[in-house]
Amino acid sequence: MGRTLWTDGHDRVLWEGAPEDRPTTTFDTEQIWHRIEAATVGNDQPRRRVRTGVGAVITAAVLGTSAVATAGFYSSRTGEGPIDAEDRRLGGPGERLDPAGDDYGLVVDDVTKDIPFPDAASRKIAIRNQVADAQGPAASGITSTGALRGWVADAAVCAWANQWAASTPDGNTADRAAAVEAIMAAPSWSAVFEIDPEPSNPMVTMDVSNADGTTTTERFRDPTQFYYLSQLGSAVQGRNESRVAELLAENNGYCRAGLVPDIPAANPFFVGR
Amino acid sequence: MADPVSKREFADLYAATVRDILSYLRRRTDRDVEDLAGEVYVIAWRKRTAMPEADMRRAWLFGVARNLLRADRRQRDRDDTAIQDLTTHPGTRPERSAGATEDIVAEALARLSPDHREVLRLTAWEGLTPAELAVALSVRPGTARVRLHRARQALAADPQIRDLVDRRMQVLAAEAPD
Repeated sequence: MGRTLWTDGHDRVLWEGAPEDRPTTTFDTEQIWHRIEAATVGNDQPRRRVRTGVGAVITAAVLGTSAVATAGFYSSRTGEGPIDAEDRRLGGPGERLDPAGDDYGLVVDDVTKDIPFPDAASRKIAIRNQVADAQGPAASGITSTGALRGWVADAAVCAWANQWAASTPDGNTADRAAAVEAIMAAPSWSAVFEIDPEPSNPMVTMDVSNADGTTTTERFRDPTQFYYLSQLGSAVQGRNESRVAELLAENNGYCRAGLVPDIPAANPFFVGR
Repeated sequence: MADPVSKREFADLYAATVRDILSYLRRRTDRDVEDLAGEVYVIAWRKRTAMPEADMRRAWLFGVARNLLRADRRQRDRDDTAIQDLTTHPGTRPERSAGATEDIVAEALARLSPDHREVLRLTAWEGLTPAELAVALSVRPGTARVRLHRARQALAADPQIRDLVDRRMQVLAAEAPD
């Protein structure tokens, strides 16, 4: 059985197949808002998980204390690594971290210190995004230092690409050269090399089950996480900003708006694409 | 650490998104969606230091709503009450003629895996872009695009959907000016 293409006709019938919905009235929305206000009275400040003060937090982070370190303090550091090769392959190398820990932001900052950013501000944004992602509503829980370092390395590449985009039309050769050098060197950063030592873009074969019970064998490209860096390294040696943005938007995922103000199309959420 | 969202920003976010969240909930459960929507925003308020940047917050709220529905379903399963797949439409659907588009699409979606079904509905019904889908599902953008591609392929391969699309295209072709 051959592949069935997705067309505008499919979009149309799927949209038309949405269950009918009644209009939401202003009364509805006001009633819900009143419930929210009632439920959040006295909760004007974000809940603080840290109960023993900043000094204790910093001490625990520095000491790398695992689990409950002091009364009421819960550290992100578990002291545990992957239990086997499969766990390492799926979860990444390094210590397992619990984002619910009181010191998660400090731990993220600590374990990614060696990843080069063009400036402190962009690094701060990257750390903040990691904490928000890990503590978000659909977060999947325990993560590894290896995976975390890979994501922050992605964010650092975004920051360098932004410096490249800002300096290229300005004729700022020093900033441009520094950005090109950093992006070219990115495959050798330990945060990148640890999880993708041999970037490649192999063709793989996979059996796909169809709705009618038949099975289709498909072949597609399955690049490793940082394969795109080699293409990006070539792109930044030229001046095609849209190509650089396209590579980042397609492959990176951490070029959030605050990191790429001068190359906004690198953000996968960029509306004007 | 993230700067907390101010009350003013939160109220603006609520006004901009609550209708979409209510529609999302109504399509997936027969519970009191006003209560559930209220819970979504209470959770969002409590997690406001973890809220992503402004352009991702609508998708993030869908992620909160999705998790809340899953938790609600688990609770209902435990309570041994009527188990209703989150993906099925509540029983308030009005009677329509056999072969109506909504029925055919609903039946075809029911034949897909839950993951494929949710990906298609989040993009087609709730209007999420692949990038927003990644936020709602908490996966990388590339992973979201692959999941969407596979879900679309699975639905497009459904014989009833193929017939429906073919018939629709024939009607459009007949109506097109020469």
